[in-house]
Amino acid sequence: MIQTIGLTKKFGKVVAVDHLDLCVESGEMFGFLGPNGAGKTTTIKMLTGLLIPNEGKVLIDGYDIQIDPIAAKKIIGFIPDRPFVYEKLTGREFLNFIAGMYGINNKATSLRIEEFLELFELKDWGDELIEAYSHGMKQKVVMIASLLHNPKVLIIDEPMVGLDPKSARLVKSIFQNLAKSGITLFVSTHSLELVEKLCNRIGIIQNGKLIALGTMEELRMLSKTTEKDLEDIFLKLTGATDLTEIIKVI
Amino acid sequence: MKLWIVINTRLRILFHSTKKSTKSGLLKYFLFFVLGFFFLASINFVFFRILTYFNQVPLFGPILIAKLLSMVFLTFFTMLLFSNVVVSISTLYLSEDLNLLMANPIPVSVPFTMKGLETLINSSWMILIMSIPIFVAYGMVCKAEFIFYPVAVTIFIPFLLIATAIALFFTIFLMRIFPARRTRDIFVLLSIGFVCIVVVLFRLLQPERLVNPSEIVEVMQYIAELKAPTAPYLPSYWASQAAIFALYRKWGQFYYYYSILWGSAIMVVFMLLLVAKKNYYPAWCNAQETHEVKIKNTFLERINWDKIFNFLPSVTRVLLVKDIKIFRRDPTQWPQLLLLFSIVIIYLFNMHTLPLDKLPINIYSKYLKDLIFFLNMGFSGFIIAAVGARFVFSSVSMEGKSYWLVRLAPITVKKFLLEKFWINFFILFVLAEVLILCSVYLMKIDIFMAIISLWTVFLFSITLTALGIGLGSMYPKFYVDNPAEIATSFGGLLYMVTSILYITLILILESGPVRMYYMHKISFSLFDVGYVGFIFVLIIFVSILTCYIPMKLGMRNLLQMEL
Repeated sequence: MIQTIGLTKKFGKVVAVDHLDLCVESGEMFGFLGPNGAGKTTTIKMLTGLLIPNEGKVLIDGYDIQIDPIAAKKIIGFIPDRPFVYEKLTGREFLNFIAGMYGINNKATSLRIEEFLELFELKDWGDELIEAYSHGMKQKVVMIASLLHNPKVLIIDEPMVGLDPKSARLVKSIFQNLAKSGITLFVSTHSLELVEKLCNRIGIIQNGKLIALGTMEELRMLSKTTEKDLEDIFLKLTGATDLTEIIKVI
Repeated sequence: MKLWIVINTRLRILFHSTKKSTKSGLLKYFLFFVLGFFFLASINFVFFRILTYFNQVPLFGPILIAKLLSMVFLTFFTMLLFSNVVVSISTLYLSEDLNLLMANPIPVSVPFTMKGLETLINSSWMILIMSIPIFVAYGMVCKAEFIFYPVAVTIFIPFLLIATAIALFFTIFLMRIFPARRTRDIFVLLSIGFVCIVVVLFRLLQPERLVNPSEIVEVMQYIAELKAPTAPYLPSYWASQAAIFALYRKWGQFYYYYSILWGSAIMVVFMLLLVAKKNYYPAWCNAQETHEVKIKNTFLERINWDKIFNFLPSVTRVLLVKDIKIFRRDPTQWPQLLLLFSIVIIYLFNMHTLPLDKLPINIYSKYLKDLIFFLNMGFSGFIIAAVGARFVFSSVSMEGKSYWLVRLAPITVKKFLLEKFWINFFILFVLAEVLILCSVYLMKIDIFMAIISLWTVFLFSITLTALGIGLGSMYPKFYVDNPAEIATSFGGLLYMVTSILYITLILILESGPVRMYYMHKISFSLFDVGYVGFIFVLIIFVSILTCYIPMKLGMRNLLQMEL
């Protein structure tokens, strides 16, 4: 469903993503991990067509996002890490705007909007201006917007930032249900617990290069460790195990 | 010491941001410099002419010169108060770095002084620069000694300090009661409204009457009779008096006003620091509280825009309705509407007061009137360009940080730009045609000229819309807080310059056939249809190029833009 072939992005002399080859199957929930500045958000922006790669290509359900962006975007839902939305619209108006942009502003969508607002506990806030929302509430509105058009692929950048524990639990179960219903999820996050619990496969990127790819078991073997915890595996693979010096300084 | 650390950090930030200058950045500075230079030169020219004229008036000359300077200082003082209030709310109460500064173990006077200085610089630099050509004109006309210029600078320092300090006093108490953001919006609106009223009133006074010798004597006597100082307790009066006495080298009187000015400045700044010590922190805390963001149940809010524009395609409708709602709810977008409204009033007033009755009565007078109307199309073109700069050029940038939503949606950049084009074209077209129809009615214009003008403004609307959307996409500003910054950015200036060049070119091209038509009517000379047809095709060609090239380049820029 999602395929990247030799995907490369350079910012001047800095290679943010370096010949990334990935393949995420339909209905799979894929966890994308990496330290800060590893190239996760850059990769995600290329997957959604917000950045043009210098080399390589992205295929979404067979559509090249650069050659056939409309067909690809119709099946993509995207939740960014920073939810910039039109602050002077109400939540409900914003969702109707998104429905209009996708050409699905009909009665069924209106009902769907109401269901989602109810589900995300935003019903009472639906007619308030978004500028009054907290970060977590904005994040929820963006999540609803990304689901309105029944996407086949959901690309998520840091889904848990700003969410309260109840909403985080809700989001997790929504992701699980979406994956069960055959939707492909590509989740970039620092929440290792989320990845460990929900993702079928995990990819770890460092300095723009994919350094590990596989199931939890495969990653464990790759890191040559018996640790059960993904955190230990991640730290071992990214070479960030020796924290004692830092702790000493603090 | 702590204040120096904070100021030094601020200077380093400024230094780093200027170091990033690119080629287009340098071009931008160059254009600003050239335009700024011409602007200042024209101020100098106007003042030089006025002062030279005043200087020649027997008896009243020096009084008129002093009067004008006190009016200049009073205007500056009013402008400074307004701009200091608006700027200080942003710098002293809304700056994001204040959270960091307030969390640090430093006395509250440190961030207050730093932000106060920032306010002083941000709100005074423009007035200071504008005053240079005025003082130079005064110096030139009154043949001042060189010492006048450095003295004038030292007069300005306490003058600016007093204006900033008074504004800061005011905002400290204002912020203790009202939330910052809403108060700033209201003040911006008030300031612009104030400027609009002054400009419109000035126009309604019909200053062109001064050209008439019988009226000018009357006006001058009136001004001169206002010998009594208009506001002797205002710093603007002390500053103007000090400047005038320095100009005429009457040092005794100069020192009197000069010491009042400096003494007041020192006292007011000292008092401000005392008041701020106790009141700035609570005022800042109060200002952070968010204002009521509930939508009020007003008539405009109750309008169902979706229903009204139901006939439009889905994407066009949602983009249009979104823009209307955001405009309605965002007060930062309103002030420029006031400015545009004033320009339109002035335009219609000009049409109304044209001294057509003073034209010589002969067979040419009717044609002369049509000719004046033809030239006036340049002014209507300027209005279209001004509206275009604010609304059309800004329309892409107004998507702001939410532009990623548009890029993510299954619509092409081309479609997005075309949607923007049609919405803006319609608004611009209706406004332009209404303006021209009003002028046709007010001036009772010949049907030929009416058709030409309606056609021309149609062309202006379509081309200036495409130019605005194109350049707006080439130079988008998605990350500005104030919409006014978009229209005054490099791209906005480029849009105004290109628009004016285009309007001038079209009017020059059209003048040939128009002249030929009137010559044909007056002296039955040949009306060359082939020539007219050629010019018509040329105009269409120029317009298509002006539409196509920026739209194409803008589309390419948006496609390649990295979000």
